[in-house]
Amino acid sequence: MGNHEAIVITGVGAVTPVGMTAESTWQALLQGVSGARRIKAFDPSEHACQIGCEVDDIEHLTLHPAPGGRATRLLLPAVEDALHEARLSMEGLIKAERRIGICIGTTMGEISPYEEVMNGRLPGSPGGPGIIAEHMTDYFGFGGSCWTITNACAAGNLAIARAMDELMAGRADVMVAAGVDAMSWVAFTGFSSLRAMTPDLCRPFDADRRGLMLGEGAGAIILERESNARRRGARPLARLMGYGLSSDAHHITQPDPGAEGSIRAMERAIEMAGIDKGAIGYVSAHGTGTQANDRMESVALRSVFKDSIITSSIKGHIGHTLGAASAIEAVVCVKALASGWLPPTINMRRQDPDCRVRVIANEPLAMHTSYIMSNAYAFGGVNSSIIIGRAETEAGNELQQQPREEEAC
Amino acid sequence: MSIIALTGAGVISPSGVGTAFLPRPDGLSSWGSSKLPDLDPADYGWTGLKRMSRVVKYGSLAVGEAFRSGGFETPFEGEASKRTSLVVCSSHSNLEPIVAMYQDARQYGASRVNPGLFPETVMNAFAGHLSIYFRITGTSVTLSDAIPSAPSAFLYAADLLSSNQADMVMCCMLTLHPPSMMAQVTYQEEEGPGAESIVALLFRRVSDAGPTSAVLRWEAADICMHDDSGPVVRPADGFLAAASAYHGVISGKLQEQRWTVSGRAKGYYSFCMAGLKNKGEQVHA
Repeated sequence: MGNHEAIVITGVGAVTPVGMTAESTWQALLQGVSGARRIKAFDPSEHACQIGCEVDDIEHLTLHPAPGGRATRLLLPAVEDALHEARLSMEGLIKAERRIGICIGTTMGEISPYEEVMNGRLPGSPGGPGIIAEHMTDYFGFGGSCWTITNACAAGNLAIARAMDELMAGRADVMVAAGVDAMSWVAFTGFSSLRAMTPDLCRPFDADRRGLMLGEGAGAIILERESNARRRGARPLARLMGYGLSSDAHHITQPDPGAEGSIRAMERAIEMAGIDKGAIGYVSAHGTGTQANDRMESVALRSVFKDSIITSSIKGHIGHTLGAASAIEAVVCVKALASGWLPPTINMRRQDPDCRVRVIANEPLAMHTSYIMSNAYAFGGVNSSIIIGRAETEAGNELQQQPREEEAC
Repeated sequence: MSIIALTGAGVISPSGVGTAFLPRPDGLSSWGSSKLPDLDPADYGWTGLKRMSRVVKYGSLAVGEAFRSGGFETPFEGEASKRTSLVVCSSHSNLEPIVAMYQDARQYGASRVNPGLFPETVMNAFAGHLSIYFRITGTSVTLSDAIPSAPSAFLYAADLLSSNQADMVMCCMLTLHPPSMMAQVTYQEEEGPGAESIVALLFRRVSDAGPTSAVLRWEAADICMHDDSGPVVRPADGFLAAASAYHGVISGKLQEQRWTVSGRAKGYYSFCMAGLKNKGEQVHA
């Protein structure tokens, strides 16, 4: 991978339980809006837990009839949102031929057709993880490389990392890096069977947290080499600095309490970014609200950053959106860098004394930082960290917006 | 052009375990849609897998054989563990557990589903089991393209090696038929499902390659030159073709083997496997 030119983010998009765009999601996060409500995607009456974070009116998210199932319909407007901000029209994409690719991270993929079969119905389109990228490629006319990465709840970060690889290797001019997962009976029943679901609200890092809340959504970022963005007049929103990946080899569902793999992923990301870890002002935590994850992540954060780091998790707002989580969180990191506001962890009452990290509790924090790390972990012992930096202007100065009074919650 | 060294191979095919009975790349289609035979990994020295699913048992066997043929002892320790990565290709190996979960819920109720089932419905659980069994703590990635593609997996491995994120990359392709009730809703190649197989290939940088290595080169091509590019194989058979060519070259039966893999949507990838120092070459990834 010989090309080490800066990789910039020129567009972001999101569809979440609290917002239909990246901007509306960001505003809802700052305002502490929660997407938690009774599940509607299927009948949850047989389950002990019956709440989750769903996106309403999915069928109305796109103007045109969208292909595929629920996951495709969530991702399509998120990608449209990101492409629009990056000033990439669909007509332009088709003309670009082979040089625009897509990399999608997902846990369950397009699972709704499989669930329809299991419920005795004949679905209208195939299921599976890879079909989402096929639908995206057909719909938008992407002619470049196409990847589907199924590293469960870290899949969004791995998709971003792979998209960065493609650009650094010069195999693409623009990459869409995205994550998506739809609410499904399988995931809901599965997490419930593991007793990993909270019966009330998701409270990451809280002493009385009782587990995760399942969510759904999609996040997308547009990545390109800085020279490509400048040439076509796109405004860099942020820079993707680096990533780190590792495995625990510890347990199929539980993280390693010693956090050795998580620490290694963070350190690799810092090394690739070529920055001092002290320059990182905030970590967007995986923060699922389970006992094991939040303790492990706290151990890892303290080991890498000592007492200095500030962190929070948005899973109290939108639930755990699985493969979409780290893609949505990357979108949130871009917004945080640009605005000078950091999103809070909501539903926090009393911080767990075993989670010895500085958590932004319940209210957003006004703080400018140049670099943000975003963590994601997954079944199979997967650890991932990415680092996003503030964009630079043509003159070499970092773009900076002062937090505005009306943005405060 | 991409160049890496293939250092070990483990295969479970309708012919059994190993590369010795694999047909040449142009004969892979002769298997039709055959399924894998019944096997016990313990018969090959891979113990401790009794409670695992069929796919994890067979996958561990294939990966273990690939490490063994490359001369590596497992489980790894220390730096070797951190410098080894996994790239798994699997598109619907999670469907059997999904069906089992529904059946369990119908029998016992949705709130009493066996907690052992859900992790296996997550596609990368397979790679997680491999990482635990062989103690692989480097990058682990699971690729689930609609049509699993050998060129994608090999490219990922080449990138991990050339960027110095890994010294060894184990690539494993799971080609398994979906449960019959799901056959109509899984994305299939036009030619049909093909034969079942699990193929594990161990890659290293050419500069690090040992005596059990052969050099694998490939490049994308817009058109297929049938005369000098060898037989055309399906994307899902790209791993089998590489394993077959590896056996031919390492056993001395062939100096080199060429084949072409059809692309996911358009175009082709031309492959060539040759001995490490064939024609006096010294190449570096």
